[in-house]
Amino acid sequence: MVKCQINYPTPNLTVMELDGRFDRNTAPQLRRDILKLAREKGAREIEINFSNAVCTDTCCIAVMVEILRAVLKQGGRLKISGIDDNTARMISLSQLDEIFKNVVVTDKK
Amino acid sequence: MASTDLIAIRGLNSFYRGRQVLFDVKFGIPKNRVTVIMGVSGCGKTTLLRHLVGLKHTDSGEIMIEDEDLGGFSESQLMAYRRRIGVLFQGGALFNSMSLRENIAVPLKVHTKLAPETIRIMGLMKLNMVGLSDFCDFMPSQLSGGMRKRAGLARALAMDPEVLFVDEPSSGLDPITAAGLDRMLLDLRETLGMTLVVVTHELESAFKIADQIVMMDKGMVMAAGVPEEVRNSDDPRVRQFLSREADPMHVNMDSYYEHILKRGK
Repeated sequence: MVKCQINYPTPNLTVMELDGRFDRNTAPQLRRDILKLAREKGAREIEINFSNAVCTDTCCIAVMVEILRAVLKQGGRLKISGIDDNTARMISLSQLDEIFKNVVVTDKK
Repeated sequence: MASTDLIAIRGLNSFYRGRQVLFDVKFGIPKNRVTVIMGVSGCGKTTLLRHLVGLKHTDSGEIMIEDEDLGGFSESQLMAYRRRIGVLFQGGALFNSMSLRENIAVPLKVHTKLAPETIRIMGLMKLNMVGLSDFCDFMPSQLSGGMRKRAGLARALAMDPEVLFVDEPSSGLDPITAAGLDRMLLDLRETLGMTLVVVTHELESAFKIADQIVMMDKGMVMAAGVPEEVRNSDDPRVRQFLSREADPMHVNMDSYYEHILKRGK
């Protein structure tokens, strides 16, 4: 189970706070919700905060790639914060550091 | 079962066509560690592996998976267990009629409800981890033996398994490719936090990757412990294996003469 709390601190910024396990069971629903939001007009900058969430497998990284692609297609920006060392290592092992270099902020858990 | 053991094998006996092939096998597989099962060809390593992945029923003894006996698993429990493990068979066991990308997607399509695009990206990530993302549209028959083995590893990793079982990773590979595969297994263990169980008879590879070595002979565990303990074992069979001394050949001469003197058809 993973919960998603959405806040709009400014008109152009959407912050999504995830809480729970982001794994292959919870990924399909979360993916649908976030992609829908990313494709909505007006959601120019999206921040996904993982401080209270755990990425347990690589489907989490794959979904982040999809979200990044959708946001960039809208001309927006994606920021991913609060990821743990294990998720960062999965990104590195998949050699996706370059793709996420301006996306993942370094305030790791 | 030690507190760190993910799997504990207790008094396992196994039979094949009426002949006993495993005798009172017992040891533990610690979590997040590399356990190497070694021994000469025919010593029961692969049979043991088949038990551990739930492909062969236990005749007697127990294989405890976090305090539950694998032998007593229902069909749904067995399916759930198989979703937690990955297996790399000797030949890679790829589907020849599918490209590498399609091969890797199979377990994800069967066992998850992930979107096709998520599965496609995950497949590419796994192929990249084994250095084969450029070959995602190749068929297995278009690859070398080492590449097929790496592709098999990518498929075994598709579900991000907690435990990865690997049967003879170095067999049929040149020393450089084999060393690369060893390095890759250690990287994956480190990054994905997996428990690895590797079956091999390659001494160099075993001592390089193992946290624990279980040495088998004639269906029995001869020695088990950290690599240094096994290396310093006094057991004559362990010493013989480590020093690669050949067994004297035993030939039934009467039977041989009978066959050679018998007129061929």
